[in-house]
Amino acid sequence: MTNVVEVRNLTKSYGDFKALDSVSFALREDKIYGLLGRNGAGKTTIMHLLTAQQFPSGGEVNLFGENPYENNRVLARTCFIKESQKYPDTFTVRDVMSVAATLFENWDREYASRLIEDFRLPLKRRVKKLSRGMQSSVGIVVGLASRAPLTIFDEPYLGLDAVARSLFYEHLIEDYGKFPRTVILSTHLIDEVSLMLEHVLLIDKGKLMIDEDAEALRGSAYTVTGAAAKVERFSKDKQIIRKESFGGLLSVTIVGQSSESEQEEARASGLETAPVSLQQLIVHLTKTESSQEKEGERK
Amino acid sequence: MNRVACVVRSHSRDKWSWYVLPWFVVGMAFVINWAIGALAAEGDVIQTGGIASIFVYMFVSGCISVTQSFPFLISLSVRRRDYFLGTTIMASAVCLGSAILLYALTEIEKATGSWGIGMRFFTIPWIDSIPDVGRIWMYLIVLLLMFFLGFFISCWHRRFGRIGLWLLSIGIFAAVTLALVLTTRYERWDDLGRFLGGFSPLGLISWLAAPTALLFAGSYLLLRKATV
Repeated sequence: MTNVVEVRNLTKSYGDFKALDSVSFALREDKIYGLLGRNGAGKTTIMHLLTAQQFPSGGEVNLFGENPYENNRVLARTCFIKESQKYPDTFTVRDVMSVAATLFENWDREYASRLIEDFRLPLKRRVKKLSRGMQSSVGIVVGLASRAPLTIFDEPYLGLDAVARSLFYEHLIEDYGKFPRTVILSTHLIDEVSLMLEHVLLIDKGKLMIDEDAEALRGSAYTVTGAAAKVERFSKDKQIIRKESFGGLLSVTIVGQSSESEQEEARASGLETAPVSLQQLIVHLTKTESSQEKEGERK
Repeated sequence: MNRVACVVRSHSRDKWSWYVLPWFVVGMAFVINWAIGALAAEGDVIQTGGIASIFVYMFVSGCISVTQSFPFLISLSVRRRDYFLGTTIMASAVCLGSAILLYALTEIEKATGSWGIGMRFFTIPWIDSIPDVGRIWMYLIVLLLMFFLGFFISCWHRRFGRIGLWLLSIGIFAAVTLALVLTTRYERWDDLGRFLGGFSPLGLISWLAAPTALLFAGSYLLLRKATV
């Protein structure tokens, strides 16, 4: 397998502020990546730099082994759908689709029509007059129908209702199955997409915190719930990242994979163990990082 | 498909802004002028200068095309170079079409006795004696100049933002003021008049191709470093 994206020491600064601080990673062909992180963490900046829509202050970006800047070999194979995409005032949905059809070599007209129907988009209406959610659907249709070898979605579903969101996930999974490609999905709604993701990149404050297989990440912590005293006993000497009590019950999240014997032990004392969700893990990781830093600043 | 052609095709989908609106503006100016002229008809020939509206529109068109289409097409993976070339081709074609149309309308104006009421809307007496192709050429150069002036300003704005645009206008204002002051100080106005008077209208307008070319090249350099 080859690397579709290679990023080395990528840095972007605005004056003193470092939006990205020496980020390095590589993305492999035909996988679905989650680019996760809080608002302002630097996700959108990374995607703009990948597609040469903005310029890095330092470091290197390679797509398909080449610099993407002014490079049609790279750009024609890349589709970047962003949350706040602007469209020409007079353009209708049909206009957007036919322009996109000429620009992406793998564009599938039939598939695009089907998506337009599924998302209930009015072809003749001006995109500017559409609701926020429908504008997002326009971006999603372009992103999916482009079938670009590298497809990037940056928060593509602002204003989309739950039905349309799950429609997007279904289509993405189904079409990805038929036409594998590299997908980068940047999102806040981690729970909704976590099962799709094969690999996770976590950005916080311009730094790459995690570059890990999603499966491994999911198994990297677990939760134990039960009577407080029993949970306390079980979790003694273990690394706890979260503790929550309600009534006589206690729930703790423990780092590491639970071994067979530990699960046996938990079951014997009437405790429930469950894998921790990706979202909980990420919330925990990005929260502690910032609160630790705050403490550092106070000192 | 060639990606420059894609950009041209994308522009040409916006028929309203490129084809309809400019001539709608001219048409409105014409109707208003004609109504006034017909009411006030006293036998004199009225010189309206209404033709200026198409040149002003080309300037506006240059200004808005970057804000309208640049973020859209760049986001659809178009190179800045292809965007620039495609937009140039589109604008040049529209300017050429407009130049020919202006010429045709001038001829109609002359043939109809200035629209039956002695209203000169399209005719410019200064260049009226110049042969046909020469006049089309002159219209084309000025239309292109207006477009690229607007385009350059818009590219400048995209590259350097609002503050950059302020600095540019302050700089231009300062340069023009300085030129005026110096010309007056050294009493060179007569020389300047004689220098410009030495050109034929055709020669003078043809020289405008030089600033047009500069704006063209400058726009490209700005656009190459512009971000979305």
